[in-house]
Amino acid sequence: MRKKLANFHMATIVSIVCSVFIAMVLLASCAPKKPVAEEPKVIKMGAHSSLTGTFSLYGLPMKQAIQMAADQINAKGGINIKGNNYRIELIWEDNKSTGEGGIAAVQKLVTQDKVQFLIGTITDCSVASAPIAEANKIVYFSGAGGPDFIAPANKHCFTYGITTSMWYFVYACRLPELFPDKKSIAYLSFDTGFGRDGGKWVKAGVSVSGLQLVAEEYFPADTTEFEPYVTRILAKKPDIVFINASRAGAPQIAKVLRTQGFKGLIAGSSQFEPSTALKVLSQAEAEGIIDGLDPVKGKVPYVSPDLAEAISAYEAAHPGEPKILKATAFMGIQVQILAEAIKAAQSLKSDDVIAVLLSGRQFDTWYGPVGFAGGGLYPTNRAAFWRFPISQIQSGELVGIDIVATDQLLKYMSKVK
Amino acid sequence: MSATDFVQVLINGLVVGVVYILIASGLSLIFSIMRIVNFAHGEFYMLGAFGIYYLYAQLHIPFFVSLLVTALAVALLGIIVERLLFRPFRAPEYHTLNMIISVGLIMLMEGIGFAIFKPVERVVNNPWPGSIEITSVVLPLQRVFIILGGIVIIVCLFAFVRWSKIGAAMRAVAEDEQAAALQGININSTRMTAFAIGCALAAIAGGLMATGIVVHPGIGMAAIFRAFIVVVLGGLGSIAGAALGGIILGLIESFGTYFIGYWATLISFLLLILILLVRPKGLLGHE
Repeated sequence: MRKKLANFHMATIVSIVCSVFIAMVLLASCAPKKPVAEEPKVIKMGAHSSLTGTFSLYGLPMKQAIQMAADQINAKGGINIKGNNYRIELIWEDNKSTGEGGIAAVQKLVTQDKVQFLIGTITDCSVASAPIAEANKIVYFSGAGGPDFIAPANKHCFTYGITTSMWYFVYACRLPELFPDKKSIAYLSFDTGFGRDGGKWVKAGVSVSGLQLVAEEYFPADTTEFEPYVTRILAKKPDIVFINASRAGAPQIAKVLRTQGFKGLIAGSSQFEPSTALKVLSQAEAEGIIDGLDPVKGKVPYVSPDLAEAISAYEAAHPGEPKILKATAFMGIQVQILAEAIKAAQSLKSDDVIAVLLSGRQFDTWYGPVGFAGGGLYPTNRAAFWRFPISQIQSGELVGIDIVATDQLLKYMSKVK
Repeated sequence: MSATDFVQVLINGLVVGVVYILIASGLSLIFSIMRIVNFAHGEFYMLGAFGIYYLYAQLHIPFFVSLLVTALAVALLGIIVERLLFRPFRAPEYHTLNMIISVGLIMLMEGIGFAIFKPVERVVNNPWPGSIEITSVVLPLQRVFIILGGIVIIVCLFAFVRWSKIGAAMRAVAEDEQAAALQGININSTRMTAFAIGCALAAIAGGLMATGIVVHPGIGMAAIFRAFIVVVLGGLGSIAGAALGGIILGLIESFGTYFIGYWATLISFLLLILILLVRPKGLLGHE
């Protein structure tokens, strides 16, 4: 009896203990989980810009644009790869506006910082440093890389097909269709890589449109006296003058053109933002100037409102910095393209990301859909193209007058003689 | 070349020449008194341009008030620079050191310029819009004001050096420093005044030019390069030489650009080498 009682007690105690244990396990599983500290997952992107040297005037705005894109992606949760969110960490270097500076910057980013992707800006710096990315098999996107950057040997390099210089190609092709009475053009540019590149594009464009190129002039980048150059080109009686200079220099040249009596079309590539241009030019002098469309103010339905949001967010977060230069905001979309490619590939491996970039898909960016192609004027199809807006200053406002679609752009390119 | 083009190119050359005179006259004045080639002269020019940008374009203070305030502020800075950097090395044996100091000053001032003003291009509203057209030759009013400003400044500078007591002291120091000291002229004070006036002239040039150029912290280098050619051409230390050199360089560049375009930029270099080989003292310089 006593033994039975003892067995009963033991069985009861074991059952109670087991029940309590099971209850505790069940309760524990139902209880709210404590946050588990996780190591933040990071994709390291090495970026370089011209913070000093010849192109330093563009370096900071380009850096801001790239950082702005990364910040926006991070603010939206980063890039999801196989269920894990990765944030983009940009590591910055100054390329000093030179090829040597670009090499030093990329060398440091690759060897010391161990970055997984590279982002570049200015042509010379990017072209010089491309072999380092190639040797280390790192995807290297440089917005202003240019044709040499995406040479067949540089299998990891990608660039924009639409560069600032290429604007002049589009103008040379399209403006005669929009303004049939215009038959001849002059190209006046600062003597830089951009400028000389623009000259090549102009020649390619006139070979398509049949416009007559009556003058092609270059002036040293530090020139402040434009009168002699303007007098020289106006002696050739052009109907259109393409200006390739800084965004503050171009309005000065336009001013000299107008004061020397030029009544024809003036075209620039995003240097004629009215807020700056109209400090130099009167409204009458500025009337009719052709430019790239201001994507924020220009009432452009095809540009994602994300860009305006990104600018507001960035400027609010960095009150001490100069305002975002909208003309160079396009530099940020290379980060958007890379982020989307990484997400689509669900991998950080270069080969996987490259496969997505070259798959023919289009990428959603601030500037609308972007696709990769070669278009006849690039050595490989690793150049990114998007729709091309043309605008005109009318009554002191920049107003969109035309859009050259990507397929139209490629059609022009295929006709280059 | 049509007659209209010829007159336009001629006027272009004169306009550019007056700009060069404006920049070079201060450099020449400083050399004549202190025997220092102030390579940092272009940086005072840059400060003048920024003075106009902030006072006139941003704070909307009347242009000539802004120019006066800027010139005085830069002159004050010149006094500080002369007192701290150049006066301790006044003796002739420090001649080379003074050149090194002025080169170092370029780096210092440009570096500070980039740090404070940031590498951003700025434009100043043109205070004199419109233009004058004479028989199909067009001259912007802004250029007219620069020419007039340049002429007034050169005439005032001549008059000051020729007829004022301080000017007489400057000429005496320029002629023979020891003899001037024996006559009771305060050498330190005269040198400091000359340096301050030279810096103020650079600032006035920068301030006037700011209305027609892109203002950024790097504009000093281009300015000093042209100014250097002008003073070598006209004669180091000769203000009349700077005036002559400025006009000659302006005309050569203007006509050169019309006929050979970009290659005309090489003319300045060739001219500099030629003048140094054939007449190192310059057109109106002294031995």
